[in-house]
Amino acid sequence: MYPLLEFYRDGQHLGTVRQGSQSLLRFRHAAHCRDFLEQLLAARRTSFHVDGIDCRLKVAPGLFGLLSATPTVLGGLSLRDNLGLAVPQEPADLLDARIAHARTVTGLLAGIELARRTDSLDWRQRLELNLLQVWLRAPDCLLCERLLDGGRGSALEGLPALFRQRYPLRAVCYVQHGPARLPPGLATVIEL
Amino acid sequence: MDTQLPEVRNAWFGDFGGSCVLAWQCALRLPRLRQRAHRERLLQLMLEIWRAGGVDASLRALALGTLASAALFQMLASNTEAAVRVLAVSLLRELGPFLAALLLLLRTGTSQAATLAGIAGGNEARSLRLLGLGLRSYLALPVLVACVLMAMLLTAYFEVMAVSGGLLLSGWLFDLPLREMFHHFAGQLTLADLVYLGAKSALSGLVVGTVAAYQGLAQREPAQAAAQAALQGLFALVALHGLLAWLAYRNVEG
Repeated sequence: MYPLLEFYRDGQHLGTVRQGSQSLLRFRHAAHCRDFLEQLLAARRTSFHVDGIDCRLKVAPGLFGLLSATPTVLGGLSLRDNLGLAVPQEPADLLDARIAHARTVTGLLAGIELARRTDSLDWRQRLELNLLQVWLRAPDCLLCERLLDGGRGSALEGLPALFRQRYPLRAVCYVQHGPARLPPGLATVIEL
Repeated sequence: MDTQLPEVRNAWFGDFGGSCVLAWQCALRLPRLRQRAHRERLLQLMLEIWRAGGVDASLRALALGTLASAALFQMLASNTEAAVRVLAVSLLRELGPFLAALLLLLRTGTSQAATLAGIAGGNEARSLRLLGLGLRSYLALPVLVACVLMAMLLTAYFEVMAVSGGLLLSGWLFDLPLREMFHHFAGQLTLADLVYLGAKSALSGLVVGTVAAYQGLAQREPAQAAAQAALQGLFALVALHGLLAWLAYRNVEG
């Protein structure tokens, strides 16, 4: 299994997120979670620092996907167009087939028309939209930002599990701060 | 990788340098328009621009053409050919393209600047970064290309409405020979004029698109982005048209 992310503090190795693993990164503050994700996705360098921790990217940032507790959508676009942004190079007819297949297999956003604008979706629906985008993109590692916060872990566990079922050899990494109920099957907890 | 916010603020050259850099960066990303998502956004923008500017352009063009023609034919009542020649130079080559560009700036440039500022400053920018879509390639590039293409189309439409409407109404109001006026007008048009018009409208569209995209990505407040886009776009258009007029007529005698 090849490494995806490595963490060091003062030269000491803290942990590694590997391909196919299920892991949890526990930061000390919520701001560190966000800072970590912003720097990782900004793709400026292969290594960056968060709270004195040396975070080293071992693969391209484009191979990471994110499912956040604050889901983000492009409100001015329809559901179909938002999903289409996940695979911008896909031709239109193939895209429609892939979207239909993904919705059928996952059962997410059932009963919602593809032409509906996403600014009318509620929080849970936006989360499902983000997961469908990740499903279509198929990244090497799914980062779950603060999905276990506030006791809602059990309600949202099913979402990363769907990704895991579809892509069992790809990693799922929870990014949290403070204590949280650990989801089942979690192999590694990295304290940062 | 085109996923970070563009660092378009250049302390040395200010907004002008930043806009030029953004235009260059977008030019390098033109091949991204082959991707379906970028192409769809471009077409959507072009449709929006036409809906926003098309009807307005026709009404204003008709009014302008009528006023200009009426004034000219009244001043040069005895010399239809001279009047048409002045109309061709003033309306067709100079005033028409400038007003079409101004319409594009005020209807589309400001609204796009505000829209981009809203997206770039909020969670939607994060959404784009998460999907690997760069702000420059997905947000700015379609705006630039749409403004260039629609500036050319709007200018052509504006000119046709202004000239034909103006000549028709003037002919009717002043009882002038329509066939003769159109014949004189057609005689004034050369290939060089059409090339000049095309280049002028394309450059105007590029200016409007660049200013709108730059202010949209650089400003945090949509209202501020729209205001800056209007102000800077206006100055840039005046400077561009002045420069092109100087280049075109500097060797003309009398």
